[in-house]
Amino acid sequence: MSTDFSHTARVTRADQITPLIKNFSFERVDGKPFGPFSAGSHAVIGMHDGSESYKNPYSLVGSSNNFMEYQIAVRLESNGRGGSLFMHNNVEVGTELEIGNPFNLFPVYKPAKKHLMLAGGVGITPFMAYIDEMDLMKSNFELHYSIRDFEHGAFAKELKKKYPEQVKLYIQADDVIANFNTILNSQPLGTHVYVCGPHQMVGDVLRIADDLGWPTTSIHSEEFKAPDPGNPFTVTLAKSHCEINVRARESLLEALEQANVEIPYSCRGGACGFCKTEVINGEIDHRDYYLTDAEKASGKCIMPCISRAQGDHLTLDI
Amino acid sequence: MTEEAPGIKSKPVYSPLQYDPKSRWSLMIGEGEGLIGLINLLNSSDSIQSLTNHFMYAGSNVEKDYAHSYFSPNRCNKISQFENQDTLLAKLPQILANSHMGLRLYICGSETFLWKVAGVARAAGMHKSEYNMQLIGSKARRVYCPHCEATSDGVTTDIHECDGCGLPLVNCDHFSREMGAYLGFRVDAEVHGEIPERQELYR
Amino acid sequence: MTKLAFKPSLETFRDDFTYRNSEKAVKRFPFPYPEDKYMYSVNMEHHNGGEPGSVFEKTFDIDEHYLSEVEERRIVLEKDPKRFATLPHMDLHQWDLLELIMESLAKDYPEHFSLTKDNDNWLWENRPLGIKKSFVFGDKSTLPQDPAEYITRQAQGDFVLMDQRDEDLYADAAMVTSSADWSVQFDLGMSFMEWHGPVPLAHGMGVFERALKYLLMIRLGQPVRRLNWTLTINPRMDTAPEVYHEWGHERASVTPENAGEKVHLRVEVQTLFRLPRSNGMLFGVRAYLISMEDLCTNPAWAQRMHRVMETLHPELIDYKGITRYHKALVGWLSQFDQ
Repeated sequence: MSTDFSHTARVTRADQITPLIKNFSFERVDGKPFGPFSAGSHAVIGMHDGSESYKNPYSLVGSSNNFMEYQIAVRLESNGRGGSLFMHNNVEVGTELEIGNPFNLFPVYKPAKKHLMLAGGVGITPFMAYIDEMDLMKSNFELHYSIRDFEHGAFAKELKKKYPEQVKLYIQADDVIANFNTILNSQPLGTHVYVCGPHQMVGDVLRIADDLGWPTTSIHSEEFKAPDPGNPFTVTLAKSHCEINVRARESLLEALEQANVEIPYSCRGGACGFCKTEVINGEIDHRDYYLTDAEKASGKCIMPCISRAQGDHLTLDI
Repeated sequence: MTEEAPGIKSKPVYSPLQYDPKSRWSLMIGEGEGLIGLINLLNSSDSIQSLTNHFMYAGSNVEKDYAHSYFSPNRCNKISQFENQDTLLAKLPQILANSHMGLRLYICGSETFLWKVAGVARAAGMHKSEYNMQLIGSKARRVYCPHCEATSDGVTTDIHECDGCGLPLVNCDHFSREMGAYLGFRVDAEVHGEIPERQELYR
Repeated sequence: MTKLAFKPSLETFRDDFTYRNSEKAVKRFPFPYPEDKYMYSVNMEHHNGGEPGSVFEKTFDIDEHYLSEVEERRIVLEKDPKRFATLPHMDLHQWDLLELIMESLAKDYPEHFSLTKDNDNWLWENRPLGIKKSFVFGDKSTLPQDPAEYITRQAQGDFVLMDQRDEDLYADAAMVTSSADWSVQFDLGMSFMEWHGPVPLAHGMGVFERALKYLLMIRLGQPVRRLNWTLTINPRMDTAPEVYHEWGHERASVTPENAGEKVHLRVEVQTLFRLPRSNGMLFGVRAYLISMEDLCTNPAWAQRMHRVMETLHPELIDYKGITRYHKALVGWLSQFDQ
């Protein structure tokens, strides 16, 4: 169960590094070091705000003092569901929250001859750990980082200074835009491309790479997608004999958790498969990336972290 | 491309070459009778003819003449003919080093040749989804001997004497893509001298 | 807690075969058959402890044969250094393995092992082997061998490091000196399905498909284990294909009279761990050997052993190399199943 593998942690640093991005460091309240993690890992941060609780996955940007501290960077999402707002406004040095065990859905492809990273905005976060690993392994890498301007470009100055040859910055304010066609057009065999950033940017890169004949096995992407809101609906739990209401702005998983129903989870974004739950009745609005087409068509299972009822009711076999 | 045979999941199974319309460059590589597979591929799609492509081939003089007439300049951007497999394989790494993502290889010939080419492709960083193989020609096996680490080429029987240590080996269907070889082991290890009649299976 | 004691002199797993199990070792042997008839299953369970004193209690079990098995590994590697093999991209996995083994042994057997960390400056002590080694974690030049080779030379059991990519697992590095008839050199770099290629029946049952899906999702801190078994003639640990031409003849040396002494049950406790820095997987294979004679001092085991052998599927008999002596063995075991 995922809840068994979280630790209570205390915020040790909370720095506004750009107008929209805040950098947080944590240490465990029991004083022990965190464990090592692989580049690209995320950890789920759990916090409470009165009756509301949030559980959001964040990329682990790095660690320090041999894993005595974990670091994340959080972008303020004005259209979000409140998690990032809470992090920015209510989480400060000394605040305690829960940090889950690291889990990696965006790992480095180890045998690649060359690693090509394309980052936009807060999408830089997993690449911070990537670059640490590639530096250690003496890998061939390139980072193309698109930012609005230096003020809004988290870590941009430091990265360019430390890796002047490998890091290329594209500053929107100077009208310098990354041309993905050019970048992807002439890469040597054995290059793997990793893209992390806003939805539009990721979509563009995937489309361009595909058009340029990159095989899907050489393209890796991560999007920070919180579940979209939808219509409210009710859920009957067949085994527990109870009814739950799912509000518009919360996911089915969150509603279950609010009702103290424990479901295993990991990524909370429809990609990892951990929260798969059986459905007895009700039409499903599948929004995940995990189930096969056949599984979706069968209507027998759902990924509650992101998918919802098509109508106004579902019966789950839990 | 390659699929698993029933019964033993590591044995490669081959199917006709399939053109990938998403690719940007095609490199067609053949030897001997494999020419047929590449001709069929060229005929299977108009777009492959208009793409930047390169045809590399090793065969007899007669075969090379025929190949040249087929893969003439208006059907193929570049034609490279080689005296034998070894000279072709020696040239390939440099070609791949100058190539870019978006390249696909289409390989056709005897089984050992296919995997030699695949080995060069993998060393250049290519993934199995970027190259296609079709076996036309000899099914003679390359067999790896775990006792002395030698490989024997051209094995057409189920039992043969190892080129390295001379022990009588039986080869099974367990196949290593890295080596392009099947696994052999001493056929009479349990009772020395008890060797079954050998059968020719892989022509 | 009683201190773990090792055999006073080194036992051999070849030539004169002086290996013997004490009564205590026989009692804790991991008997693998839950029923009178054997068939494959995925049979994974969480690897988080077990009965005190059992082989499942510790993360990596060390027993009375420790010094003997370390020496046996040394002998195998001297004859054939390629029983440790690695592909170039596996450095992180190797450091993960070193860290995991060192931390586990120091935690589980503090009387024998200790690990002190000062940032990346580590001090490792292995008192039974008289080792006191300072090194820099992450710096290969500070160890005499590759990290995985260095630490596995001080552990019991074989270790396979797998890289996770393409929704698959690849055996890209391994230390295998007690192989049950598979070759590291040949299998290095194979995918999960490829290296399980030769196993009969299980593919048709979908066992490997389910197993792979399950393994891909294993999380940090949640290792699993399962049991595997085969039979060996004499307490021979190294039954690799590389030396099959040397040991194969032993299969023909079994008679209904000597089966109890010669035939050994070999049970592997297989453990699977998610590795933190590389995101890869560790596949640990810890083999335990017991002679039929010793096994049959337990009447329940003896009876079940007879029934499992008698009803064993012909393809399994063949795959596990039992064909030549199957009849003699079943004959010998029948005395325990009247």
